[in-house]
Amino acid sequence: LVLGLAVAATIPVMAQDADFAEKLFRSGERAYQAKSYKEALDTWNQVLASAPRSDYAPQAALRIARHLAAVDSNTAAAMPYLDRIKADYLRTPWAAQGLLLRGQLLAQQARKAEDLKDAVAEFNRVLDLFPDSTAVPEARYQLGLAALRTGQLNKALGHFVDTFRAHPDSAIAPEAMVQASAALDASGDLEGALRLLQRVRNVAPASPAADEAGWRLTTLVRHRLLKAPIKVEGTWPAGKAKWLHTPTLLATDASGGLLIYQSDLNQAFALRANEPAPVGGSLPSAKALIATPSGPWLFSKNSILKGEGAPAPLAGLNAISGAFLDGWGNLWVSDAKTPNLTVVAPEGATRAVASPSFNALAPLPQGMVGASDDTRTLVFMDADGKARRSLPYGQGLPAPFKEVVALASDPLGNLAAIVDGGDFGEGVVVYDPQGAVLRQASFKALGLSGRFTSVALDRRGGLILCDRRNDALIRLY
Amino acid sequence: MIRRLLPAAAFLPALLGAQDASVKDAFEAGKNLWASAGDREGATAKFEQVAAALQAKGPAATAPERQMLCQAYNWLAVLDDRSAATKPRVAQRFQALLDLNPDFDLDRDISSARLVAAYESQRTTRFGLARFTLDPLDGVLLIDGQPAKGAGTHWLAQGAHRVAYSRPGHGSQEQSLELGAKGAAVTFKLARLSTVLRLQITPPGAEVFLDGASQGKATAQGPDASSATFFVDGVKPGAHTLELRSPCFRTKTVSVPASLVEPVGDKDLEPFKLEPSQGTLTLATPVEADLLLDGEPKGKAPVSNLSVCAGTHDLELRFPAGGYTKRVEIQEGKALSLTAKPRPRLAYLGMETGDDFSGRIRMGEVMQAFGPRLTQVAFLAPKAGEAAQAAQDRLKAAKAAELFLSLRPVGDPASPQIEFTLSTVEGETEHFIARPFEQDPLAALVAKLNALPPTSEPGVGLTLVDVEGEPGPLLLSADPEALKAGLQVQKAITSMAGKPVASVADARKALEGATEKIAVAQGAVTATLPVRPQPLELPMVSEAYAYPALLAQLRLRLLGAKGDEAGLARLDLALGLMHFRKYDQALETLREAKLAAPRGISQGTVEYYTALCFQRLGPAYANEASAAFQRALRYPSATLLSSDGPLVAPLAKQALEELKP
Repeated sequence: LVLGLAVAATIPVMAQDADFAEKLFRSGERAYQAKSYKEALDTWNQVLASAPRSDYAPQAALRIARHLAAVDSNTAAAMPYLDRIKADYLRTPWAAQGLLLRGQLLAQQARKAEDLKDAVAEFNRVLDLFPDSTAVPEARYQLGLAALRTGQLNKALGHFVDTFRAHPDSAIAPEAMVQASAALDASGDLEGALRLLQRVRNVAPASPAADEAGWRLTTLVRHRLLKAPIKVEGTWPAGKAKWLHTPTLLATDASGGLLIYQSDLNQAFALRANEPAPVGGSLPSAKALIATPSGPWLFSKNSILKGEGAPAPLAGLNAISGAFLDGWGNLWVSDAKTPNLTVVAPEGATRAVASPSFNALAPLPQGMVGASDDTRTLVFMDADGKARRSLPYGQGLPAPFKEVVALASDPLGNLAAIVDGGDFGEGVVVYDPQGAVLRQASFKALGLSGRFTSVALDRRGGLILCDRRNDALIRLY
Repeated sequence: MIRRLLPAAAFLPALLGAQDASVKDAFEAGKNLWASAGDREGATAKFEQVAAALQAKGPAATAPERQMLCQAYNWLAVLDDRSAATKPRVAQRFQALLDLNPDFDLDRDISSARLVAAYESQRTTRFGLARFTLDPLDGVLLIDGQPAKGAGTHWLAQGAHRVAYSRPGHGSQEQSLELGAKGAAVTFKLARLSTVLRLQITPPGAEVFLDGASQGKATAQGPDASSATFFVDGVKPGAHTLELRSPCFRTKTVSVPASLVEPVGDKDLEPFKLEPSQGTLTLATPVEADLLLDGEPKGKAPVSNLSVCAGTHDLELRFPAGGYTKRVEIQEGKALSLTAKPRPRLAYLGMETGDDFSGRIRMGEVMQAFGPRLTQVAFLAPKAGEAAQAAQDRLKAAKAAELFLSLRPVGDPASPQIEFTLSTVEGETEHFIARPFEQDPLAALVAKLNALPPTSEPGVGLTLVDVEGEPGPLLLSADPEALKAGLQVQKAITSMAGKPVASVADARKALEGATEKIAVAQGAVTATLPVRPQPLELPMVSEAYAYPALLAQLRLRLLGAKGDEAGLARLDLALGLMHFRKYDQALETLREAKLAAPRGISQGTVEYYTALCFQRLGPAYANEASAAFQRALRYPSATLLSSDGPLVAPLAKQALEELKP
């Protein structure tokens, strides 16, 4: 009888707890919708503390983690909430989204291939434990990205195809097709890659991925398939002549926007609505310019300027000739007088990777390429900086050149070089990711005169040349 | 006496021509027995036999049969009168005869004067003779509401009668008649009131309209092809329009001038012949089905050039499994061809019984209109009072439905949601949630049930891509047929079907409108290419569809399917089963799937999915999965999803790598 009374008393209490937890959770939601983030997070933390057994506890933990990761960009603060979901709420439906987010954050933090293992494990847990969850398409997609980052092209392709084959209605499906096409292209199946890009445009024409597919299609076809003779379109933007102040460096950001370093102004500019807008800090005599997610970085002969403020020296370097950020966040720097590549890890540790001294450096999807005037070779390297192929200057051209003035690449692995000297003379060459010549022309043949110091590949299958003598940009197509 | 009877015997066969053969034979036998052998008993027996047979027919007896029955009574009276033992029966014979037809007069060739006098005496005790004088003569005389022959005499039961007389174009008159043994005279004289149009129509049965108002149908008259004379009564002065309408015939419109209507009188129109109005219906079906038009059986389908009356008809096909209904319009002289495939029958089992919930009445109302909104399934309404489970058991046992739908409230009883459960006979089930008081609680479910994924898209063997700066979609690759026709890869297509195309989207639109061939131009070069359907895979997961309904559709699609059609149906069915994680059944289905196409969705696709199913069944089937992936590699041009989808080969290769121990 006593036991019975105890049970009878417990049930209403539990029901009251659940009711209270729901009210508290909803209150947090209202606060969040009103953008009172602190109040919302506090309220959800109360749910976790006061009703840890309620269904609203894992939901609260997930909401807090999402906010910390996405809005505050505070992965470290988000992770304990996700750990708790994994430890205490794995049997709840919200665990799928928790594991997915945990995997995504682990993947973001990964600095080398091995670091991805935990992330991959989380994504696989989503597939295994929650096969009907709405988190599954994104988990498959993330598995594809992880495989792509580690160079497992076929594996990546499989995951991406599974994403859009098994979840054609999911929001990530068009993006999975784009990434599958990248894997196909990297595997050497250009036609397959093009067909898949067109498929994105056919099945999801209004998606952002369709725009991405559009420029990829145009660029791949123009450079790789048609390999049309290079022609001069004229100054770019059209009609803009003598509008810059000694432009010397170009770079393109993740969305294809152009960055221009103007030497007379010691400043990088982003081209917005065909007008230059200053970005980042001031650095005289910049030798390299790269676009990063946090803005442009400028390099002098021996230092780096990230954003505003003062440049930081890069020890041991005195003739910086090129740089790029790899997919793990490592900064790779080449020096024209130093026979190795300098790699600066995200946490600041520096190491040297043996190589010739390079006059220019550019990233490729599965590695990088450096131009060595000393050896007159283009050196194609893997993601670890190991040379995989050396291409003598002028191979595949009617005549050799002696120097590489500038290198640029795009996310598809198309490589453009401004070259000079030799019988080929001053001109431009476009290579595929394996080093095969796709398109080439001497400036003389093009009727161009100027001093061309940098090049960028645009997203319409053309090239932008930086002409410091005429204070202008020239578009080739 | 016997000789006196012979002429009458010679006359009777004509009278009996329409009679039942055995009755007629008995009648003849009776006469012969008496006339040739003088066998009174034998003859009496035969006529008794005739009388018994015809009496049994009662009111259903025809006029000749009634006449023959009267003759039989006449004979029986004559024969009974010849023997003292049977003479008392004569009065009964007369009584029966008078009950049957008091206007019947005894045949004086076989009846003696004494017998005739006795008959007349008996007649006048019950009946009186009414003499009718009619003007005009060709009207309709009704005695006590029953039609009677026209002018002249009528023996009627003594007492009160109501008599009426009418004739088109004239008024009608009615009189009371008090009839005694002495008889009475009745005179009707009708006045002319309006014009009557008289017409005959071939064939009979047409409905006659005067100025849009129906005047009735022209009935048949005997075996003649034309109708009996039809009277259009009460035609007022002035011009009129007659319309003669008959199903399966062209409507005839006749202008009646005022000059024909006046002066009033009976106006005979030329006989009208309606021209047939028919079309033909050709039905292709994957398997034999019972064909019904407007609910009437019309034989079996498939059928070619079935003559059907012009107009709108409700077409129904009853397949061994599944059904098909469609409203069709048959146009005169035109042929309508349809390919009809069986559609799943969805049985709505009604709301599960239980406590009342908020919204029950509302859901009951909206479900009333559910069936007509469904276009891809044949809807079966619930039987009143039948429980859901009982209905499902009954329909399953009778194989009368492929899909079942039930609904029940879930959640808070005060504000419940409605859970629809849709399941196949085989048990694949999905649930859908609706709210009873939303604008249209059935909208999402109806959309899913009406949605069918495309099974193919038109193709011409060209792979096109959009490239900025090109005048049209760039030709990436092409079938040999297109190359032979002059098209070149890496050049833009500039027009299709004579219209400029600026993008792949334009080209796809042009293809959608093409039928068998399409002109494809690259600048000055134009190639005419055949348009062929390119198979598309069933999407394995999509919010747009109700997968139990898709599975039911696919199972019916297999009926009668052959070659690649059957192979593709099996592939899609397997994908549908994979949606429900029924990998074992999917494997069984894929085992039977054979595709001859060398590229695109082809046998390599089938092998790839076979391997995936083995993989899903677990590590114990790794060898089988590897073997299937190996087979998939034999088809380097096989794709997933569609002909422009990803190639199977690299995926199979990767999967094989992962399966390596």
